[in-house]
Amino acid sequence: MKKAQYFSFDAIIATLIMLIGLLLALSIHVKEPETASVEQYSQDVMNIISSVKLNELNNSYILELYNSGVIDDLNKTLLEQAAFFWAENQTELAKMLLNITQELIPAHIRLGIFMGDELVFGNGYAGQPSPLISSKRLISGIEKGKPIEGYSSIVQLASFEWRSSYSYYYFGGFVGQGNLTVPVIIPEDVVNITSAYMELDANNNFTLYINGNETGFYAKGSGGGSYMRADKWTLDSGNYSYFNPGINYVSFRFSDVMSYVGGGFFRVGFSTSEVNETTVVFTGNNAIQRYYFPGIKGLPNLYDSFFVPGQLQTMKVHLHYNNNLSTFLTIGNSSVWSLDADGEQFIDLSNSYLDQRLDYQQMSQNTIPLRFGSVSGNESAPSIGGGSADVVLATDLSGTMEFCAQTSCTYVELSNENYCNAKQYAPRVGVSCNRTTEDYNLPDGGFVCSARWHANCSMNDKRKIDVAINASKIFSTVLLGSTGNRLGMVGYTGTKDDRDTGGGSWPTDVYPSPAGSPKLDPFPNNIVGYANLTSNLNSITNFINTYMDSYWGTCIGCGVHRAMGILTNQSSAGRYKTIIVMSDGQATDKRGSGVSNPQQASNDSIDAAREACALNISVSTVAFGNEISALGITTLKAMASICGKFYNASNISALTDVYEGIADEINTISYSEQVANLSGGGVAEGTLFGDSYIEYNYTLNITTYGMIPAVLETPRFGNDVSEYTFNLLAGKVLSEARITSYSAEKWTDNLTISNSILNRKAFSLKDIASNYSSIGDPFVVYANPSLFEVGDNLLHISTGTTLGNYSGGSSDDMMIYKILIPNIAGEEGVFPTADGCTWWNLTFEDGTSTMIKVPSDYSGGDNCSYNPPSYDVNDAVDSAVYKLLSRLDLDGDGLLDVKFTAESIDIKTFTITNVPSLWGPALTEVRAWQ
Amino acid sequence: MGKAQIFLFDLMISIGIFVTAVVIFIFISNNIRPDESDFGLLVESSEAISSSLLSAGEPADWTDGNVTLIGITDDSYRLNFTKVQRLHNLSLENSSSIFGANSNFAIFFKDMDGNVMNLDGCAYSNAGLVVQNLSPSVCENITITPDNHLVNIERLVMYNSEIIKIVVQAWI
Repeated sequence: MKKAQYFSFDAIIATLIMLIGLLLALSIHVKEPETASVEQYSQDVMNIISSVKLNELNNSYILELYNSGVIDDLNKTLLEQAAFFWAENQTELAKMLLNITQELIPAHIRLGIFMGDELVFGNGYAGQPSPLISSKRLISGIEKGKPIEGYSSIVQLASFEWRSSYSYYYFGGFVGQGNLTVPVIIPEDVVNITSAYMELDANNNFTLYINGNETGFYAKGSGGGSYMRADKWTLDSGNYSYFNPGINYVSFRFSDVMSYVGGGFFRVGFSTSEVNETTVVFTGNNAIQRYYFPGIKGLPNLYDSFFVPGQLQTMKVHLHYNNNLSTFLTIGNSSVWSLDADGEQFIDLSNSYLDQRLDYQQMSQNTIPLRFGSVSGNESAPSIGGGSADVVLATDLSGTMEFCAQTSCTYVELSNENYCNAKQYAPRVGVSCNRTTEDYNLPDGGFVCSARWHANCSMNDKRKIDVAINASKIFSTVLLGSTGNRLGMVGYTGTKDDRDTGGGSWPTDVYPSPAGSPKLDPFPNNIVGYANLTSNLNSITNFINTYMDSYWGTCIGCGVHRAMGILTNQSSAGRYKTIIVMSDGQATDKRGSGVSNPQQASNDSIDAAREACALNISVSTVAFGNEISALGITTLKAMASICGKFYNASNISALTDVYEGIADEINTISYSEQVANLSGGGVAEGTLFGDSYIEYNYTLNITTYGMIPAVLETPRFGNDVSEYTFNLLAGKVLSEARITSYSAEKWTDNLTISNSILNRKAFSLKDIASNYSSIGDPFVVYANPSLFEVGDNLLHISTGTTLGNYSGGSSDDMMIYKILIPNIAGEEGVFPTADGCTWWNLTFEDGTSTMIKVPSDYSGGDNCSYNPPSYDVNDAVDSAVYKLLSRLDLDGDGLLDVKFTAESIDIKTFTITNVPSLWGPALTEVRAWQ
Repeated sequence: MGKAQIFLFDLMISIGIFVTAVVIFIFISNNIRPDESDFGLLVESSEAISSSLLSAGEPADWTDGNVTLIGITDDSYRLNFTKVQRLHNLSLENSSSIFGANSNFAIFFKDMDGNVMNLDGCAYSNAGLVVQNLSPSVCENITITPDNHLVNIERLVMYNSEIIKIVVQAWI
């Protein structure tokens, strides 16, 4: 090659290279048909396999599976059948089935069919190809590892022999005043009575009668009751025979005629074969129910409530009473009726009458206060509210009360005083404490004398009698500060006898001239003085100033006896009666025969206290000072142990505090906004008969058909806030909820329920009336079941006396509720088998046991147990039976509360061939990419 | 001619050759690059045609006289033979208008084995495409050689117990 051709040669080569590149580019240039998009393949494959049924495809593999029984339903779509295979862990069959789509997809398209994120057919991929197009479908009734076809079972309790249940009679917030008779309704088909129980906040002792049969005496406080807490008594099983099917009348005959019950209930437990409540008459969707007034013999004075469980349609009232006072009935805040007529009355208030006066809509599903009583405002009418205590303060005025409080009055015996021959004693150094004669001049010129202590204490000391005088005045002021309370006083000492004259005889010239005149008695004998019951503080103060002086011995029995007489003669039924006995030493004298040895005097003191207690008069004692002997302390404690309290004021200066505390406590116990007091402490002779009722017709909100009712009680709230968290279990229908509330002198005024919504209002007294005293006081507050939710529900109940003055409730409060248990049970899901089992040792609450085969013709060898649980969880029948048994064990104690036989259980089993959403749903997905 | 002149002359010739080659390359390259806007319209058009065919049409029992949407299924991924027949008989002017086709298109059907099916005709095309029967049910393969672009869309439907493809090809 010539050198001059080099450049041309290079240019030609470069041109050739460019031409070759150009040719290659031309060959790559798109002349082939464009392919369809990935998205369309993904969608079309999903649409086809989810819509095409097996019987639409002429596919030999499908026919082979069908003929071999692997596929039994050609109506399934390709996707459904593949999903079933996958759920049954036959993924290879699913893959083979979906292989039908293989030839539809061009080679450059990658496609994978996933179920539950598991690749069933096609290609997997690593990373995240782009574009990756996904089409999804949900298939119900499918879940990996769960049976697609199997058994489900429903078990129904067609009938039962009996079920455990209870009948209650609930007292109102205040039911009085007088002897009470209440109805307790027991089903006609009762099998037997299993328990009888009552809890009451009564203000007095009573004797209980069941259908006229006396069952026992019940002392207030003996059942653990106290302020805002109920006495609780379980009746002996020997009384069960007094109950009969139907209405039973339970009577409370009080020690005092004007007594009352401030909340409580009487409960009878029984087993019954009835399903529905006997107190409710069902007519289609309507129910008729009655509230029965308690029978009251005395002064009818009722603060109560009732509840309409549904939409109130109609109501009527029937009253039967005999009351010489003007009488009224208030429902809610409406004074629906009053009448001033003597004699026995039968009053019927029609629905049209009541409809004009009451708001039925507002009353529906609400707790409605109810008030029945006598109209106040005239002289004969009772006054309502205030203290109701009658108290006698019995003060020791023995000679030692003359001693100085801080310093013991020791002395030295000297020769007898001349005239009276009374002994004289020398004072201890620094203390003037003399036993001196005291002359009393007689009208005829003669005189008598005594031997009494006289002390002159130092500047910083006081005589005990002065301390007692001061404390008594404070006690009077506090006690009478509560309107309605009354106070009497007794000052007691020992017997006026020879001992008090220093061993000599009382002079005969105590008989004044002329002869035959009444014998003079210038000095007290046992009782220094007393004051009758009064609410007048000045009168009591005058007595204290006049009569409280010290004399001779200590006859505690005498003081108690006199105080008992005052209360017996001047107090009235229904009032709180108590004697406070103070002594600074042991008893020296006894009643009647006068001077006795110390033990006899002690026994007499205790006997006197016992006699008072038997008259429903409580006796409390106060030991005053530190010079009291061991026997003295023992005596006072023994007296108080019968029906009162013992207080110790060993530090003399503490007597004032002790007295003030006692007065405060009496004020609290005896105070009631709801007690009626007749002027002059009289006793009424009215009667409210127990056949009086309110009948209401309402629309049911809860269907009870096919449900077994069960009544349960929560534990007591245990706090006075008062709150309780109630856990409502899933699967149980709450049909009634009653919250009890011991409110003492207050009204139960508010109930809230907090769950997912805080403070849902269940009851509010202030919504009904701002003046509580004019309306009823519920002991039982009904809460609408719709306010409860499955899970925790915080109940909060409060009390009050006036609007805005709220306080907590009683720690004895609790919830009594009724749940409805479906008599049919079926475990959700599909089970591989439905064979059944023999259930051994099913034990009922009555202690009996049974064995049942379910189904009744079961002949297999499986054995099952409810308690402890043992059954085949893969068997539809066994699972359903266990679920039903769990429902019938209301308290979860392993004992069944509903008794049945094998014939009572009706087993229905059926095979599910096409599961509609029992499991899953499962996500199926077609993913396509290039 | 001296050596220097010889090299200069060779350089000038080689530059002329190279410049000519570059000009030709640029010209041809510009001419063979696809027209993206035309291709995009072609894809949209063919997708619209395939989606329309996959529907039941409008009205569902459409005819040449009242059709507003040309669909050949019963709306559940089942091919309706009657509607296929109507498609074959549909005037090209009418169908082109309803499809909104601005290009050549052909509609035909393939079975799972890739054979073109004879469903009362082998293909429906506005490009004068002639496809012969190989048998009463199978037609000859269809191969289209476009001037510039060809788009192929395949949709799956059920027909006579088989899953077949509706093939839409559009080209310019």
